[in-house]
Amino acid sequence: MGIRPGRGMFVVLGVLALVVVLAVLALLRTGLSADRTPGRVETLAARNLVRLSIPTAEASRRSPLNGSEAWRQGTDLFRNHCALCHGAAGRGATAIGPHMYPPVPDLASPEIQRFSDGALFAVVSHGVSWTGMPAFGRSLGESDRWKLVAFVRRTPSLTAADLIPRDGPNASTRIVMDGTSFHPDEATVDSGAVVLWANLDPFPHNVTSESGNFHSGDLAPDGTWVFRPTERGTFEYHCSLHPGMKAVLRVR
Amino acid sequence: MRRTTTLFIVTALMLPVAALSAQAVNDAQIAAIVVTANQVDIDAGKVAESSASDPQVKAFGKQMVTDHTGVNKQATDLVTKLGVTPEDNATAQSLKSGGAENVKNLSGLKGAAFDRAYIEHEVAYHQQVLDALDKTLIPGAKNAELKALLVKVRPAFVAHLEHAKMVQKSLK
Repeated sequence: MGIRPGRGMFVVLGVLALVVVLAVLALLRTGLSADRTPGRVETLAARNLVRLSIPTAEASRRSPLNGSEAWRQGTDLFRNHCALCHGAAGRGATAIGPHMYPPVPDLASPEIQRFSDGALFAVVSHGVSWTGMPAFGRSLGESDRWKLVAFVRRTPSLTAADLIPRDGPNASTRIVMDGTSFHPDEATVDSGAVVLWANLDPFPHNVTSESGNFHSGDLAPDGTWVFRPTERGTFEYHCSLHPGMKAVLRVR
Repeated sequence: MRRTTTLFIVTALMLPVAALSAQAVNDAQIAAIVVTANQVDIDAGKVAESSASDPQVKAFGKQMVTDHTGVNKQATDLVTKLGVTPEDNATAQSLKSGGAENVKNLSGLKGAAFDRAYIEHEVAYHQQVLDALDKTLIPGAKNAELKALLVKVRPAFVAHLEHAKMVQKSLK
């Protein structure tokens, strides 16, 4: 063909200019709004870019934590630092998760689980630019970040019992909806205490008191509802979608 | 006449499942049965969502679409993760043809007759799936995660059955 070097450069510049023009046009059309859903190609490209952009030295790091209980401590850390967006079980279907751009991913999904431990540690530490994922490298110690990695690894096989906080001064009472039943189905709390319901089933549930004192509205899978009962007494409640799914809340 | 038709379909549906309990099923076949069973109820639910006249029946149909879609997503995710390819089998096929027959039957009905036929089929269908879960699917599942998923969703089928019976009672 006989393209001289000078001409080759023009071709490259032309292609680059075209890419820039297309990007600007796309930007003008949609702006920087987040109320869209990224396309498949964009999601695939972005995910792989995040994974591949992590240096091999970091991605191949191994967790220094020994023992199989690290994820349990990770559960508490995850609840405090991550659950707002990711949901207590890490499945991402929180009130705000799906409305972010990109939407918060399901950490139990194969796409996330294929990240190595080191890569997950890098994401927790450095965050991911152009997403809602912050860097925790300066606010959480290294051991805590590895505990979070252990928790993320555990997400595909979490059970309801795994998410109930162990006793502690600021442990809220947590009631999970799993297997179309409330666990525990009897709870006693102090007036004004925080009670949190978490739906671990793959379909909606709700919390509806028999007397009409409280009603959560339908909670999507992985959704949570927080309620501070002030009125003392014994309250029977159920899920109005699934007859037979009943429990009792005692407020003292 | 319509009732006889529904009864006939329900009975025809139950035969293969009854036959199945005698034979062993592998996880790939269980996966196909679970996905088909959910899909069949999603299809019927969609018809009820648009064609039912009683608001309770409409709401029930809508919930069946939501719940069974959720279960199917979880089942599909697990099967993908386990690298199991659902294997078509006689039970899955008869569930599918039974479901198509039910939708066809419903499409010829209107008003209260539609509501009654849909709910009657839902009661029978959920009972049938529960029997299959207890006799064949749960005891037959080899993989622990697959078994756990079946055990986890079983109470939802019980709740749906109770709910369908409640709606059925209120229609009479």
